[in-house]
Amino acid sequence: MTRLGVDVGARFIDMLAWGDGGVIGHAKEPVGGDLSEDVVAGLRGLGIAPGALAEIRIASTGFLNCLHDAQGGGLPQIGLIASAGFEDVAVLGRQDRLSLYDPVTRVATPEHLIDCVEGVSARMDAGGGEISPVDQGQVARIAEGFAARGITAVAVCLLHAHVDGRHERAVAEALSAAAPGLTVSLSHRIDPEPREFERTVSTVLDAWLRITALPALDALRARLRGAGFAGRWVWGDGRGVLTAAPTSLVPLIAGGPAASLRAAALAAEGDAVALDIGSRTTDIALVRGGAPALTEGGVLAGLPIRGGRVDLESLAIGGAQTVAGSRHTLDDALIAAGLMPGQSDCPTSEAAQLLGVASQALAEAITRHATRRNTDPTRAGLVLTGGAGALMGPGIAEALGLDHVLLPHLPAIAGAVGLAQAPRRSETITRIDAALDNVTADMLTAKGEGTVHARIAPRPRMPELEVAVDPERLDGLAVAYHAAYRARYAIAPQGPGHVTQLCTRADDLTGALARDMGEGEVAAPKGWRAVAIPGGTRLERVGG
Amino acid sequence: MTQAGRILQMRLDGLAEAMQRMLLDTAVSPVAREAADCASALFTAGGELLAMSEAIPLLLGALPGQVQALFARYPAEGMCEGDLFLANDPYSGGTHLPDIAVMLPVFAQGRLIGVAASLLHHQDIGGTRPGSVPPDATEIAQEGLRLPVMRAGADHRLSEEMRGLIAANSRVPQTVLADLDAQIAASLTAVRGLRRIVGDLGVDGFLHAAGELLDRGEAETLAALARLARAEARATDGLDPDAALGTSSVSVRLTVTPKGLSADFTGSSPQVPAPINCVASGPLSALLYAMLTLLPEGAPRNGGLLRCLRLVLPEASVVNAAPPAPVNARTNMVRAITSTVLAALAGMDPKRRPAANCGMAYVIAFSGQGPDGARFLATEIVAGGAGGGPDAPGAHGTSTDVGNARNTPVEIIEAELPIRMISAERRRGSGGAGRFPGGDGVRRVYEALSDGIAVSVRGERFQRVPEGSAGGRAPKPAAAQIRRAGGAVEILGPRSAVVLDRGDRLIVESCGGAGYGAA
Repeated sequence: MTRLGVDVGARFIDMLAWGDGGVIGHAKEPVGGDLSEDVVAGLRGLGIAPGALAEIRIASTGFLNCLHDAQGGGLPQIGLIASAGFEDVAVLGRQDRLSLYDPVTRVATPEHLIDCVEGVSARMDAGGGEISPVDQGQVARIAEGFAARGITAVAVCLLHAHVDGRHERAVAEALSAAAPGLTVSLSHRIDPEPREFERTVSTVLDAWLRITALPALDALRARLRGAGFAGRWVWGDGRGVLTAAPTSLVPLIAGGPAASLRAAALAAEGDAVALDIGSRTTDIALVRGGAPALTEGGVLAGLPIRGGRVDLESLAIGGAQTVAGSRHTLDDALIAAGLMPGQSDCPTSEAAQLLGVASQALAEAITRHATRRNTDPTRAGLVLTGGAGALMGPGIAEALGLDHVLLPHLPAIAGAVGLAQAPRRSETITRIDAALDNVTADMLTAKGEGTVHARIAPRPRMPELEVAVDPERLDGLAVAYHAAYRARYAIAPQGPGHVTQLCTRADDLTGALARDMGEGEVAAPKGWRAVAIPGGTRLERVGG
Repeated sequence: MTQAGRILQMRLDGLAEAMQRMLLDTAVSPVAREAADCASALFTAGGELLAMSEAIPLLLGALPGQVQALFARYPAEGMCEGDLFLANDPYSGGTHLPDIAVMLPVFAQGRLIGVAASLLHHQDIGGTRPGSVPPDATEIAQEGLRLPVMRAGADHRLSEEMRGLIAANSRVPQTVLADLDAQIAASLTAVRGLRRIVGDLGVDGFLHAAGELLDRGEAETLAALARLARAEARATDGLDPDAALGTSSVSVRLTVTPKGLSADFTGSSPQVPAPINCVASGPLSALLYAMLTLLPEGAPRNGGLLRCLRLVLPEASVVNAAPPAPVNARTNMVRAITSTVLAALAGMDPKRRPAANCGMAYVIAFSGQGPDGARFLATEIVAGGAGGGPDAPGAHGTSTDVGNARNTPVEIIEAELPIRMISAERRRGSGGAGRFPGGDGVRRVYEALSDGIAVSVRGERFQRVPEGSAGGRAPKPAAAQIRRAGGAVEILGPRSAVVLDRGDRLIVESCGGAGYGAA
């Protein structure tokens, strides 16, 4: 059975095919004008017919790159429908600012993704009771207005929709009736959690990505289906796991970087910083215990994005980016310095200077990321991946004062490797909104195969902890929650416990590429020696 | 600064920020959990500020005074591992009574290596009105329980005696005790984190390096002050005129000296028998914030800066009140001090700065009996607009300068209070006009869903608004009113206590930011 991992980058598509016997082949296909054609060409190069593939695992940094590009304008925007009187939620945000000591006040909101906001009179209360119903005529007029502006995607985020989504569904129906073909994202499906600004951000992102980053990926899928591919299609998400049918595109935003960082983590020895240098961006994450650290949300590509993912930082530094005001890119400098094959008109002396500047900037970013998580980067390992990762390693190591760096197997296509090694995750989430004492066996049973996890907060609307549940020993849930809370926060929970959801989860590694790929294979640059290690290669400074 | 020094300062900054995240994760009351009206910082074993979280500068600047008061009463040699100290007394380092500081000495290998401290606005600590912010207070005794710095527990736990004392004095004891536990959780984060750092550097290595960081902070501050284009500037601002209290003004003269910056507030108004006064922590917060805006990226932000600051504060004035003056509504006085200091600094700084921010925030406390008979108490903070320029329009409805409170989501307000929000919008046109207009303020409309909801509204900039810059215009002033269910309208002033019955609406409109450049 042949499987394929595809990590779509800004300039290259990394592909890895494997079977039960291990790696069959891999390719780094340049991005041309048509993603579908590029992938098909890559498959042809590997000698694999689409019809022979049992599974395709895909992730794309295109989601993240689109968001970086959106800061500059020029991309399509969406329509937003909010509760009347609350149309400015997306602009006002949470009222806090990005940088405390910058005299100029800057905020992080999705305003630049939105062309037009309209309010609807439909309103619910906090318990899901209807205050005023959906006015179909009002929604139809809004749909016409959106169509007149050329809007093709709409985000709908109404107050308290996470409690009851029927108003949003009615708005969607009215929109579809008035403007068939409109792409509609509903907040209660995309991010069914309280706090209207955060839910609005998620919903706006989903709608926006559906008309910017997703179409090329959908076209690729259709093309491969047309060419005979009849296997399973799964997405790499921001947690570094695979999901078959994501309700929301938001978890996929960090799917590409998470796959690379997951592959990088396998080469780490103890605490480490993983750095994936791509064409457009460089992504950084801390690795602890052989896996990238996770977060529940934070600012990514300039936006406060809620949801579990690898705790990564994405910088606008990459092979195709110009460096330090020069007209030359990082790749130009690497070519001129003789580190990368290709043509470059960058003078050698300038190349050395540009590489020094880039290495220093990346070392600064590593330091900032690691220290914010109380890790000294000069005492932790450094794992490098991405097209330029291995090439920049020595320079970054020098800037940080390190005498060695680590490279996982196939570091230039780490994203595809990470996808190949990731588990397929299936989750069934049941929302229950009940006091901990009132959780009954009835709620916990018959939720599918896998382990059961409960999300519990001390009191409603406080941050939740995930606690593993033994369905056979329900009376132990409170004890398990207290222990988990104390382990995380060092105090007892400040409330009796409120359960918001039960999740039945199964991670399936069937068909995944074995994590143990043997010893590494990277050649050492001048002044360094390569030592093969179980997770990949250790580059050591000669005389270091 | 050496690479090792930079890394240590950044780790400490990250640790202070981890404390702050812990506060936000575990705090129970909406004013802390949603509005983030809390702050965390780390101090040296000698009581100097070592690192700060990215929290409200208004509160960050209050922590050094609390820690000084701690060491003044409890010398380091008498502290034990597991000790826990509390304080909220404005007249010994504090701010106003709802802000309780929790301070925890951190030990490693049996030696004191620092102090973890946090400040959190608690929902009620007694006094004449729910929320402990009585707008009609004439002396501090009416404002609630006053706690001079005291040992309040051992083994990193609050003693039962202290829990009992607080429970007996608060209208919402369980909430206050739960939020105090959140502060302890934040402190314990610091204990774990500092021990990790000491594990890397050793106790002696850490203590030595911490001292060097403070020296470096001092040197960077002096260098930043030396880069100012002018060595002296003055400014005056103040609160809205009040029929009973007259005009409360703030005057400052900033002077750069070889030892640092002198901020002389001589000429500021005498204190008044109303809770608008602030104590010395107010001007310190304002100056700490203003000076931090001068430091270059990467410079250590620590107590080295405070070594360079000399405050001259007239006794018994609105900027340095003396007992028994009330201080609960001090926030807008601190904002006025900050606006004054920033205006003076703008005249000294060669960099182009934006026009003035709104310089105010509404602090609104709701209390009463819920439908289930249980008492509710919640505070929310409403920002105004940021100043426009120098290269872009000002941000709308955003906390500025010494503020950084978040708004409370409508979905949280409606889930936890018998209140329905009618709207929460940009107050269009309230920012000052200009080439780069000031950011708009905010308009929020609340409707009572039950009778007898007591509301305390504290605001400012109802009359006196900031001027525009470089030809820009002034913003619209703030405004607040009650619209009774029967149609009657009551205009509210800067400090109002009202009761809403079912169907009554409270409407608050915050001031915009000033405009920059001629339109």
